[in-house]
Amino acid sequence: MSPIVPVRVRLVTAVIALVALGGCFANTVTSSGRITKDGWLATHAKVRVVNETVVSDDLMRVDVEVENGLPFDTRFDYRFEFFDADGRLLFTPTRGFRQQQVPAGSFVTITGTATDPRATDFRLTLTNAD
Amino acid sequence: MSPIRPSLLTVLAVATAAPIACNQPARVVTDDRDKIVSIDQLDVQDWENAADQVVQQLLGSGVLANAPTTPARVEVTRVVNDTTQRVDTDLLTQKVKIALQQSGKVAFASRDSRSTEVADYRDFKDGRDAPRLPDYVLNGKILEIRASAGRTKQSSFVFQLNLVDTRQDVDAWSGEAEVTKKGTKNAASSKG
Repeated sequence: MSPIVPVRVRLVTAVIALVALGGCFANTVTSSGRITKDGWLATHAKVRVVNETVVSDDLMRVDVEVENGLPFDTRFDYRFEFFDADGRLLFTPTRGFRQQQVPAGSFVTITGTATDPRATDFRLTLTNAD
Repeated sequence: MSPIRPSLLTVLAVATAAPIACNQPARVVTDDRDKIVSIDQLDVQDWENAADQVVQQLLGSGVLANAPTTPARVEVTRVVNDTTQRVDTDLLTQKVKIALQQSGKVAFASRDSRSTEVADYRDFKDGRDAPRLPDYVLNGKILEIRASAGRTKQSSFVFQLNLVDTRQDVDAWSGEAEVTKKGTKNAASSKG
C-alpha cells in the first residue's frame, strides 16, 4: 500500500521547491564578453554562436542557438546590439528585447542582423522571462 | 472563547500598505520588458518587433543587391490597415525606412510636396525632364486574427510587406511578420 501524503504537505513541498528554484535562478548572471545571460539561462541553457556571416554585401548577421536544458517549456527575452570598430554602439530603430519560447529539452535559433554596415562586433543579452 | 480581534496596529499597517501597493507613480520606461502588454491591441513594442522581423528578412534575402542603382530608389505607397484598430501604419514603415536607409542600400522618395516642387523646378532649370521614378515600390497590409478559449483570449497581428520591382512589375521580395499575444487580462509588463 502506498503511503498517503497529506495535501498540506504536498503544497508546502511545492512552495519550497518553487522558492528554491527561484532563488537559484534569481541573481546568477554569467557573461562571456559577447553573451550575457541570467536566470535559468545561466545555469540550464547552452548558448552558442552558430554563425557569424555577412548579408547584403556588408551587413553583419549573427545566428545563435539556445538549448533549453530544463524539463519544461520556458521563455526568454533577448536583445542584439551592434558596435563599430571603435566599440561605439550603433543606433537602430529596432533595438528592443524580443521574447522567445523554447520547448523542454529542445533548442531555438535566434538571429540578429545589423542594419549598419559599420558593425563589426555584437553583444547579446539573454534574460529570464518566466 | 473570545472572538479574534485585529489589533489597532494591524489595521493601521494594512490601511497604510494597501494604497502603496495599488498606486504606482508615473515613470519613464526605456526597457521593452517593462512596457504594458495588451492582449487585444498593438503595443508600441509590437511595431518594433514586426519591423525588426521584416527588415531582417529583407536584408537577408539579398534582393537589394540586384537593384539597378545604389542606393535603390524606393517609394512607400500604401500599407492597408485591416485590423479592428485605428492605427497609423507609419509606426511600421518609418522603422523599416530608418533601418533600410542606415544600411545604405536604399533611399526613400520624399512624400513632401514642397520638396517635390523644388526638385521639379531644379530639373526644369537644368533642362532635365525625365521624372524621378522609383526602382521599387513598398506596399503592405496589417491583418488581425482573434481567438478565445474560455476566459483566455488571443490576438494575432500579421504584417505583410511587398517590395515591387517597377521595371518588371513583379514582387521582388515579400515578407511577413507575426505578433501573437494571449492571456486573460493585460499585463503591466512582460517580465515573469
